[in-house]
Amino acid sequence: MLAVYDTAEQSQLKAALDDVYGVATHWRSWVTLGWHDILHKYRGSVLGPFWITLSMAIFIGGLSAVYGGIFGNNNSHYITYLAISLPLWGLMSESLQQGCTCFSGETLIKQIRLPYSVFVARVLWRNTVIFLHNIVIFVVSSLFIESSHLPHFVLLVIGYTLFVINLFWIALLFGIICARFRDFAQIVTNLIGLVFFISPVMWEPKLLEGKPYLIELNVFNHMMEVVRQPILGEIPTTLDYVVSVSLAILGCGLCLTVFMKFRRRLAYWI
Amino acid sequence: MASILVDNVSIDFPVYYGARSLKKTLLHHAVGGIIGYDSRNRTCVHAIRGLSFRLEKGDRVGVIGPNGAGKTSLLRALAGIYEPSQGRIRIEGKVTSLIDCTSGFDSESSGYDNLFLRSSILGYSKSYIQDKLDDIIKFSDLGDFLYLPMRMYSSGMTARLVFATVTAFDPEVLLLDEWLGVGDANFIEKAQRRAEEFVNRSSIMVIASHSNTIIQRLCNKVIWLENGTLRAMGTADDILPQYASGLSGLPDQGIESGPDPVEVTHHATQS
Repeated sequence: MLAVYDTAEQSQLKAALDDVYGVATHWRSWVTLGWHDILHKYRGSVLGPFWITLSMAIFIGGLSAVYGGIFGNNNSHYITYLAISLPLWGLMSESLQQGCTCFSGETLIKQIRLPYSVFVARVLWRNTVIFLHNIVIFVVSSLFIESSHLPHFVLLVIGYTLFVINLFWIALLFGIICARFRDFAQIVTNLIGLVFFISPVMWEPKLLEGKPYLIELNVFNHMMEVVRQPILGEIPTTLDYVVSVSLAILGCGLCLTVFMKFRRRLAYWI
Repeated sequence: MASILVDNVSIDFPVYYGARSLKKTLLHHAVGGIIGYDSRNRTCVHAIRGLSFRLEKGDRVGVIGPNGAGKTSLLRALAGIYEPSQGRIRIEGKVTSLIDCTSGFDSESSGYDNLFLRSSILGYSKSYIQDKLDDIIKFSDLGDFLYLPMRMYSSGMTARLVFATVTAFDPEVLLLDEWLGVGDANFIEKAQRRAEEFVNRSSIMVIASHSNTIIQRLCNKVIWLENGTLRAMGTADDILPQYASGLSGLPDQGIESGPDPVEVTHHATQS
């Protein structure tokens, strides 16, 4: 089949949708790029990517010793909680922050015509690989330290899909904004630092029982809960699903509108 | 059957003059009254203006012109990276572009690994790359250097490997920027033979270069750009002498390819 590129035939909506669909057609590109990012970072080190696992283990060990005491938690339960919360938080926060630079720092965009979505998928894939390295600790800790319920696999698949859709549109949107306005990345970094402390990552939601609205209003918490609860063998609340689904629908709409309008200009900004 | 149609294409780069910040745009809008002004009257660099031409299968085209003539912008537009602000580009055939041969490679990895890396990014499967491996290794002629980190490579060695890789996958439209000029005489000869094979595969090659030697040996057509507009287009034999005489007296000729006896005699006879 003859490949045809014609600037006259494209409607901007179709071009934007084609670009997003490029995640499926160009899967080799983002798998290779993301995987190479990780290999590149750990090249020459003896442990390689297992440094990710090791540093998370050290982090969880240290935190659980101190914060377990501060919050008066049952220590073995707290370790398991941290072992799922911290990797999941890492997946979310890093994807959003790195989403900001997924276009602006990328020289490849000026070399080869690839769908822009490939660079977003690369960020999500890279962080998913890191997440999988980190989750090893959770598996070990739930097997040997505190046996929690078996995960709800069906809910986990649904929740993870929702989570990834939300991360994808936010990362793409942030990537577009940051390509044009370089300050935006700094704003995001600062806000994420704040969100870390106001969200139940290091502490469990039940500690804030007196002020439930602080948790109910936290969008990021709902995004994480649809993945975290099924892994812990619990069922997320209806509110978690309502927020995650509406966020996905509204966000994809917003993101597509912006992407449709500025996709053509993106290469000129980089 | 590859073909390229460029119809009245313009490419403008917005210049933000350091106003690439949210603060300035917000404040700008906040002080009121000039919202329309910002989007209508922003400063632009016109890289390409009203350019039209058509290329057919078998064309090996050299793009020449002084610095800032719009050569690289044209290649990026043909690659589909810059969508033109005006006009239409239609390309039939699979496009492979290599604008800057150093970026996009991992200098810590060996040439061999980079070859796989770049080809996988382009979407080729491991087994397909394996099929082409002999051809790439043979053409690049790097010997054991292939297994050393790419930061050890001279620019000519990098160019060899890169050219071997991008041409191995039977591109229908191949776009190359000036980096080709760093190759030595032996490489240019091999590149010439490979470029001629394109004609038989009904493909199109477009090369931007300052080196008359490269253009003369690799191309049969020439597009002469000046200030983003088409100055002249025709066969290499017609255009190159004009271009050379237009530049005669300027000391920077053939600077990319270094002192080259072939080129010197060529100028001597033409001008």
